[in-house]
Amino acid sequence: MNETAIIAENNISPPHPLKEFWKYFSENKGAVAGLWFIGIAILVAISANLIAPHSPFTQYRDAILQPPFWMDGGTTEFILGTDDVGRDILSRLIFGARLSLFVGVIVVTLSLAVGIFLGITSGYFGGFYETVVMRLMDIMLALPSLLLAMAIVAILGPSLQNAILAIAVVVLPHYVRLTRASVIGEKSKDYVTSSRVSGAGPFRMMFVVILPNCMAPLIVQATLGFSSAILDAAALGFLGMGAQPPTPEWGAMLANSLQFVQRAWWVVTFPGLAILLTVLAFNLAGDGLRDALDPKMKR
Amino acid sequence: MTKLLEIENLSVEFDGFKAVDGVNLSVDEGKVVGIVGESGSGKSVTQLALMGLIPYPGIIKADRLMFHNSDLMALSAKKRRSITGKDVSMIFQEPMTSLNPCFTVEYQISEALKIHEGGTRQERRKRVIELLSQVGIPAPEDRLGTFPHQLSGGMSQRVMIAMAIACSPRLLIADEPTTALDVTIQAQILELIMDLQQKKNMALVLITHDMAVIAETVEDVVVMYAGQVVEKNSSDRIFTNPCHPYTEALLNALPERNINSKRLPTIPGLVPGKFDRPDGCLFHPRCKHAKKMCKEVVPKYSEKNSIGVRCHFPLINGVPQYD
Amino acid sequence: MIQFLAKRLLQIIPAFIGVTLLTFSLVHLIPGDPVELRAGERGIDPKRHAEMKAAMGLDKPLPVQYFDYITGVFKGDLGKSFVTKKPVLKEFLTLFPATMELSFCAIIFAIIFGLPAGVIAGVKRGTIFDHSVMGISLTGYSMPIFWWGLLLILFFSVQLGWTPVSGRLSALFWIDADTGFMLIDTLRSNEPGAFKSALSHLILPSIVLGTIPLAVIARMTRSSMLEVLQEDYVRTARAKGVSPSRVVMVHALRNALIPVITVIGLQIGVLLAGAILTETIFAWPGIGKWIVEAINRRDYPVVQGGILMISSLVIFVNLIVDILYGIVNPRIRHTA
Repeated sequence: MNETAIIAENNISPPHPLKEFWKYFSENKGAVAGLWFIGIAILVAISANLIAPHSPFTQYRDAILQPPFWMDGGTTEFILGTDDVGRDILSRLIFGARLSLFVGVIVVTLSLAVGIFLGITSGYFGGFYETVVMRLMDIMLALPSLLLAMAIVAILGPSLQNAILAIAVVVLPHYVRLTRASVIGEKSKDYVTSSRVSGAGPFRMMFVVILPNCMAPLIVQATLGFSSAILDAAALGFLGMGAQPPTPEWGAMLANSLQFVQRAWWVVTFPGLAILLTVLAFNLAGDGLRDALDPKMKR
Repeated sequence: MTKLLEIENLSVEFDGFKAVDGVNLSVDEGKVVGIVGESGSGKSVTQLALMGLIPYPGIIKADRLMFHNSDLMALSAKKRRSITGKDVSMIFQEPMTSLNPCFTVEYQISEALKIHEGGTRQERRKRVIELLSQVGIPAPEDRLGTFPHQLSGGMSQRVMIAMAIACSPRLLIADEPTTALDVTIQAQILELIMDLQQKKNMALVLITHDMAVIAETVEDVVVMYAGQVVEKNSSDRIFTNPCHPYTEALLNALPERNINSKRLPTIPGLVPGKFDRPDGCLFHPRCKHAKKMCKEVVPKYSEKNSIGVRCHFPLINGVPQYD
Repeated sequence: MIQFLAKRLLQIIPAFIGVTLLTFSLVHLIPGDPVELRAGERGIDPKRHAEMKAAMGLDKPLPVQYFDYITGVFKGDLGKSFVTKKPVLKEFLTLFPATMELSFCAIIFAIIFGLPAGVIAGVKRGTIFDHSVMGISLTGYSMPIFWWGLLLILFFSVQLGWTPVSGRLSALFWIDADTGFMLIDTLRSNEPGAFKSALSHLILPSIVLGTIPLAVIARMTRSSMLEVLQEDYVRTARAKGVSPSRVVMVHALRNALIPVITVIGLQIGVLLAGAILTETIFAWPGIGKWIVEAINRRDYPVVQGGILMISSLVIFVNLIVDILYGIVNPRIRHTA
């Protein structure tokens, strides 16, 4: 009997990469929980108009600072209570989810697109261009991100739009560096040389040949980028440099709650909890992704 | 002659994968035993288990793990540490990464002395210098403050050897000590190890995948395949009269046996991994003498006249004995 | 070593030039004319406008303006605040010790708890302790600290009344700011209870500011420890018969600390960003609160000067971290 035939017969093939990925990812319970939470948050954000019991802007003047329903004086009409002008906190949180996820999507898309472009071109072409881009990124990294974002907002003026732009600029260096590092790592590999030899042009080399092999760390960074974008947007909102009132943005909701700390804990607690859980969910999912995608972390 | 080391039915499992599977091994006082096999055959893991160095999440099982009259499986962790590094010590494959980059050569060698023998700083320094000159490092006094990254691979391996022999061990395990080195250095290091073995009358377990090294240096040979011992034989006999088809195939792949042929023969296929472990004899998919029985029944390891073999149809003079 | 130092010193020059370019252009990028901004809403007649523009040097070409700006910076002239009319540098130096005191306590808090937690979690990987450290630190890492501060105030100050709500010192005391560090000043003042008051004011802000660095340090220490523990040299140490505690504390930790030190150094930027939020919540009179107020008041010289000072500080601290890194890691020291 032919030997190779015997080998093939006994070969129990290793699992499909995607299946293996899911196996590793689902082993991490935290990551799965994070993914569930993100899924629910997206559903809530999409159907905010349907599920929110009230409009986020309507002020119920006869129910100012009403506590959550399980406390004395609370009613099921306002499940999580009302704020200082009588708006329903739950409804504002639900619409806030829409806003926060929107911020995340725009920031990540913007910074990822520009970051990949700058990173891949500087890694591929090198030389003076690379030096200029990377030095610029170094300078941006030298500044504390929130401070840089604040400086940009100071120039452009406070609004949610400008806050998004500022955050996208601030996180850019991470994507540029990451892309460039993996491009340089991949560039010297044989498969890249072989496609160059077979006549691939620079555009094809960069975006078709090299880029797909650099995606794993970028996917992870993008997931984690959601959490930092949401967190930074909330911080800017809290400082009055992001979304402006009466926008139901989670950070902005906290901004004037400081004066109610002593009287109405619910005004303080729920928006922050929403931020924490959302950010935590993205971080958990990002960690799980990294562990599942990074072969080094596998046992 | 007294038995220094006796291992019976040793298994090491990682996450359900048996890296070492029912290994028997014994070493006599002052003897040299060679272990050969391809990468991934469990040679190193066997010795790491002996040293108590199996990393997380490995699980060790053995019927008997005796070293110099003490049962290693029964000893407390502390007692066991007083043996490792003193009576048994080990040299590793990668000298460049086996030395701690944060500490000087002197610190790392004298640490072994400090743990097992104590003594003052001056005494230890004197001993370190002595050891360094024993392993052939020129101007040892000047090398004390050297950091590992300043040493070449050969030099690093010499330092590793000095560290291993610091407490005059009864058994030295050399795990492919020359694999990572330049070809010109390989012979020197091997010669140094054999020389020290003679002078200090240590037992030596030499792990290698190089049959030529075995032929030059070793008295007894153990051949491993996929975590199992497939043959144990003296080095005189194994080259002329191998009993296991795997040993035969390894020998046939030696360049010096194929001087007139255009191509070196290879053993088709690979050592089975986690996902492709065959039924029956683990070697049967690659064995040119395999029969139906080999695919179905796991062969037992049997020892007769100090020759051990794990095969249904062991070879005699190159002919399988189908009865 | 000297070569290594010189090389690193040279490397910070472009970063510094970049930062000054950024702060310089900040004023020029702001929509609207600086003179009109300064005049506020009262308006200004064209003649006076031109005079002021000349006085501020805004009629010169941009490169000259930049050169003037840089020379000013090196002379310590960062302009004057629109609001208080005091020199920006002087205001910065008055407020800076408060931020430094807070940041210092925060990073100490983070190291004291984060480092051991990370080491133990790494050594005892897979245990309940490991899982809880990782869970808690990921929560800490995800924490919106402005909310965390509010929660702590709500619980410890409002509910339990253990700690003061805001500020650096109880109003009962008046302490001369000799060093600007309240802990030191109160100790030297011999006022009974002043030091205790200063300390109690510091606790919550330090915890809040230290939360994210704590989480980062714990996670980094753990992963670095995990990586180092499977290095060949750790196996060598164990093969010598070195005890497990010594393997961890001497052989592994020393190597594992190398990336951790870098991470601690990188936390300085995080701390200064966090200080902006923490100081706002706790009404802590430091540079973070100062800059937030300046941005809200459109006090551009303060914004410009503050950003310049903080960035230079971060660059400087990163330099120190690099040098420390060289000392811990002999490979860098010798090859660079």
